Amino acid sequence: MSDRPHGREEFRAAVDAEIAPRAARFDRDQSIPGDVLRRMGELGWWGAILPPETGGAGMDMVTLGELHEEVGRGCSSVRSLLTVHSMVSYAVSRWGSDEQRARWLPRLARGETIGAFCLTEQRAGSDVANIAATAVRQDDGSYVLDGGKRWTTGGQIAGLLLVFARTGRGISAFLVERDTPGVEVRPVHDMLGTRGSMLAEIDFRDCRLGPGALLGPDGFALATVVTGVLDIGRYSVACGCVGILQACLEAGARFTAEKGTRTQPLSEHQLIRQMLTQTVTDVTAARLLCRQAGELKDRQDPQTIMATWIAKYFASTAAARAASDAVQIHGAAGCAPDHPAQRYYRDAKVMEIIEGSTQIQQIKIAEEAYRWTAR
Amino acid sequence: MTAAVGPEIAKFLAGSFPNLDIGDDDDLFDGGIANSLFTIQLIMFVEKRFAVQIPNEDLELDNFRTVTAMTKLVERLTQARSDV
Ligand SMILES: Cc1cc2nc3c(=O)[nH]c(=O)nc-3n(C[C@H](O)[C@H](O)[C@H](O)COP(=O)(O)OP(=O)(O)OC[C@H]3O[C@@H](n4cnc5c(N)ncnc54)[C@H](O)[C@@H]3O)c2cc1C
Repeated sequence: MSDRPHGREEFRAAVDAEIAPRAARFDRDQSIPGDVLRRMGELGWWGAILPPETGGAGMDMVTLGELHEEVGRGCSSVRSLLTVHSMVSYAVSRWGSDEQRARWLPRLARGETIGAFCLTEQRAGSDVANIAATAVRQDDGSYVLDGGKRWTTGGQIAGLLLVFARTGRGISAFLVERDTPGVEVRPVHDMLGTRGSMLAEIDFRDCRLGPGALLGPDGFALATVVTGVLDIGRYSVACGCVGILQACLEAGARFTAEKGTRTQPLSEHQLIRQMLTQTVTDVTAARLLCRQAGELKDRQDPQTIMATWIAKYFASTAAARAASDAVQIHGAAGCAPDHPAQRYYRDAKVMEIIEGSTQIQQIKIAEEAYRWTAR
Repeated sequence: MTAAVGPEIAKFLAGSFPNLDIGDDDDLFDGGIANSLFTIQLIMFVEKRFAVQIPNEDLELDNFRTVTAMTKLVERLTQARSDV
């Protein structure tokens, strides 16, 4: 336990030593190798969010945010795996029965079992209420699950799937073991970004789940498990975007200080400085918004939900802008195979789509404005 | 303490919806006041303010539909706690 890093400096050092130098490779190979996944377990990252009595690191949310920022600075794909795993861990610890907690939390905390989050379907993306997967309750209390989920981050390696499906009472959450008969996992390759995050399409055909598979309230999962878990995911993504911004800033400053003509390094050009100024300001603002969301979470203040939407909206759009600028600043070098700038650019675009797309955020945040503003 | 439950919830709703006048028996869901995002805020508020953890079997729409329903839920949960 004592060799587990527990603050930003330690996270940063571990990421610089073990993640960042290999990120281009993960992106090219479209996978994170087993030794890295195991090392993340030793570092306590898989169980960061879980309490010590389950084998977790018991981090508060502000510290968790710093961890996900630093990992995101090194590699958005590794961070994505941590994001969905943390979402599943949170769901089990928050809504799990004693039995589910005893069974899964120690394994999730060690990273022995990797969790994945299966919500999106062909016709249910932003509009989650369209979920078509069904879980039909049998006389003996078991369920039969049918449906197809798309874009499951970590789906290729996950052992525990948090699956949302329609029951007679509404939408409910289920814990499904990957080796349940009827579960078919198909890898998805060549995504635009977060290419190392081992996405899969998962079909469930006539899957029989024991009565203990239901997680949380039957039929009321949208306003509880889905919203609560997406809040954790959104927070992680927002923090990861701060990491992308920081990486863009460091790469841009380093490159332009070194490159240019003999008489004028690139760093002397005002237009280059303008782009760096924007990135510095954005990373500072985004980090503060994430910190505020994290502090509200640590106080269990309901306002954290909207604070997290705002942090994610700002951080993801700013990261997409900064990554585009980072490619621009690097010129052809930024477009080269394996160059970090082009990876940031592709990864940042994905951040504008997942965990509430930019458009959905614009709709929701404005809705809040009308709610708050007295006539 | 239990006497304050209803007014506390009403105060939270009034603060969240300064434009609306929400009566104790007004339906928050049929009236379209609460979306799922607000519902989880409501659950967080209730759990924190009254120091209860709402068990899964009580997490259902009907318990959060109105101020009156939520008050009953909280009273039942705090009662159960003081019985232990
Ligand atoms: C790399 C990656 C990893 C992912 N990982 C997971 C995962 O682990 N688990 C999981 O369940 N899902 C995952 N997803 C899916 C992701 O959550 C969805 O892509 C996202 O919810 C958006 O849904 P959609 O792609 O179906 O787009 P749609 O909802 O079809 O939207 C398409 C476009 O229309 C816009 N739009 C939609 N509705 C409106 C509206 N009302 N007003 C204005 N514009 C609108 C959207 O902003 C978007 O630009 C992943 C996706 C990617 C790309």
